[in-house]
Amino acid sequence: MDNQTSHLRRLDFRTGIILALLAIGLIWEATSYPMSDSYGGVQNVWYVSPALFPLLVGGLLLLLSLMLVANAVAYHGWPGVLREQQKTTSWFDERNQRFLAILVLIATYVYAFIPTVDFYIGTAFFLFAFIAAFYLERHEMLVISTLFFFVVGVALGITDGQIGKSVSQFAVDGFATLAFIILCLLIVRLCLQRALGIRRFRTTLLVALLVPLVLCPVFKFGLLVPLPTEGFYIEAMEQVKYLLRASG
Amino acid sequence: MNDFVVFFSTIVHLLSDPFNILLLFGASFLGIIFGALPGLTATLGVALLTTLTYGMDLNTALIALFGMYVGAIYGGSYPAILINIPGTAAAAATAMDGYPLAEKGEGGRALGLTTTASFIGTTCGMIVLVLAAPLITEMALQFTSYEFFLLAIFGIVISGTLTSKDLVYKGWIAGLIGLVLACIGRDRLQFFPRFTFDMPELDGGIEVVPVLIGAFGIPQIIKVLRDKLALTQPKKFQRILPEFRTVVRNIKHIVRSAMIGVGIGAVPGVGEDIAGWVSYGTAKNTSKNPDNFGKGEPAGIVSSETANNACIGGALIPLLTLGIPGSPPAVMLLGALMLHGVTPGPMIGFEKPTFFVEVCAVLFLASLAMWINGIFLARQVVKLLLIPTAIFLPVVGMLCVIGSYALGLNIFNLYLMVPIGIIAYFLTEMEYPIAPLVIGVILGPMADENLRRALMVSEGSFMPFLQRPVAVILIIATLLLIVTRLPIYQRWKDSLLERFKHWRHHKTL
Repeated sequence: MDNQTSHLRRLDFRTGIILALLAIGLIWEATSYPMSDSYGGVQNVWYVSPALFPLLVGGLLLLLSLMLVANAVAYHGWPGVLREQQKTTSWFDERNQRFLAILVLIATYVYAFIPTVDFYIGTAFFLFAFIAAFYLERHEMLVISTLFFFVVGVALGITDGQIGKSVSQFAVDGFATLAFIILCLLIVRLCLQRALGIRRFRTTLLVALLVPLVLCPVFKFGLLVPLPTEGFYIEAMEQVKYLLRASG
Repeated sequence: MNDFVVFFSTIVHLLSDPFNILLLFGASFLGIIFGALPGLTATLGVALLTTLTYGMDLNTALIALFGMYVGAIYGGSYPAILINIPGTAAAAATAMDGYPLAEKGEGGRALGLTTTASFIGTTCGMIVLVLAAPLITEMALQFTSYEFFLLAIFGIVISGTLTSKDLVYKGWIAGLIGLVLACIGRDRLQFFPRFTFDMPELDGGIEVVPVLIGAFGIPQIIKVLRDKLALTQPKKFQRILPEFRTVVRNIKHIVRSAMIGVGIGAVPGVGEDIAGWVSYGTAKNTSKNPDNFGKGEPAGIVSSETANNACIGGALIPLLTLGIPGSPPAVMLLGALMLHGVTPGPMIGFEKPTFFVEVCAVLFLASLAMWINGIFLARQVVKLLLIPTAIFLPVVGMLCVIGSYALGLNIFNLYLMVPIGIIAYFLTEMEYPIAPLVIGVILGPMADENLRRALMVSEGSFMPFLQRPVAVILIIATLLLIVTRLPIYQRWKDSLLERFKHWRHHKTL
């Protein structure tokens, strides 16, 4: 417990400084707002200035973050607060690797896949990579899945901006589908090599394919929410919907 | 009398549509699942469901949202009792006595107790809501910009004070970070762009939904998956009975816990988790045999579960009368109500005179659906506890993404959600509470606007803040909250106590 408090106080010292810098930046920026001159034809006075509230918040934040720093210094003393804590494990231990993998997966999905690829295949790909990384419970699965997803994401990020001009949406979707199949094959091979059995792989694939298959129509046709990127698969769903409507 | 007519006619009206009944039970069941699965919370459930209620009419949407809210607060008790891991923080105190009971093979009894206690708790909260809300609205109508500014500040300070586990000012810092986020965008009085970094997407300010989903969802996903939390096999249990006899025997605990729950719920930003603990602690301290607590004492289960569900009604009091959410899930309800064109606040009594009673009717239906679901369907929910977290958390991650996107149809919201989630994760790792941050984002515009309006009226003078009675009370309450938690005050109090003891010691000699 005490060890934990000591660790927290060291972190407090650093966050206190970061927050204080943030507060100073805030105040700096706010002082450039109109205080008494006119903006948009309105004669300004200090008490209706848009700077008033940010200055107040920035000032309080500065005060509290300095208290945080002072408290940390009081706890450890000057040399203690600067000294790195004795580390028993390396920074890149398994726990942090898992943490990093989650971050990379979510960030790649949001920043690279959502704006470029058809929502269905992008989501299925994301779910597959994410579940395979954690559910299959092998370290190499985590690394391969995450890295593969990330690399495909980077490739997609490069095509962003070209879609609709020199690259067609369907080509991007095709590329993503191909990459998805390659990852599936890689994982299957690993599963067989490591004698993990195919059962867990099957569950992963089923969840990854079925969940977006249910959710896409619910959002698109049930709630009339246009999906972020609509390409080959969403188009196909639309065709199916028309077919169903025409026959029924 | 008229209220009773409205209450029952609303119930009859809502139940006359089979779709509503289906929705009520469905949402309640879904809520129980959200509460029961560790890693999913009531706040996240209400937030994600808000997306789905977008196209419904107001009362139908309320049925779904309240069903989810009530169910999720109750559902957290399942894993607390059966595997000793609370499904939501609200049920943490339930595990203290629920799990020992389940170990003795009385899991069914514990589940029955929580079901009935939660039902009674929710109903008590509802009754207090319908009694207190009109009185508070009456008072709030006298409020002007001075009071609203102070109220917003008070809300942030008290939420920060009560939710912080480490240093108390970490809670206040979280609140201030929320206020900083609220500053982003064009200011509402002069339309001046603040902290927009010349990005047109930021002009409209930061939306609450992506902040909420990011700040509550992403840290949960990371924490659970990072640590490889392997869930143990749920304990076996017998039939679930309503346990009316035990409930009647503990009626004194129930009444006290309901009052504690409502009171804590009404405090801005402080929600069900704290209510459960406080009520459990009080029950233990006032009990004749406190040694039984922690070993499977029914009074302990009843106390924590009644209180956390009574909190719902309590949280709605400031939400509906002042527009200040009383608990994190209520933050999301505020967003949902605004989506449907209802602006909670003192004026609601004029715009929709029967709204309080209608909300109460919906709340009652939601607690009834929860009770029926709990008694008959608990076994099905327990099966879901067998799903590995590594499968459902990625799905939750994806739901977070589509949930933040669907409300504003704006990809930019997603770009914001990820960094906010990561910052929230680091903040929770360093023991900063997240609720004050979200409350800050919600109340920031209110504080900013009303401060400047107030000063405009008084032409820059702060005197009216000290001349209006309610304003003075709010200032004193806020200052007391701050000063009593400062280290200087603690030291001063200790030295005073020390001197007092010394003095008494001398006197007795």
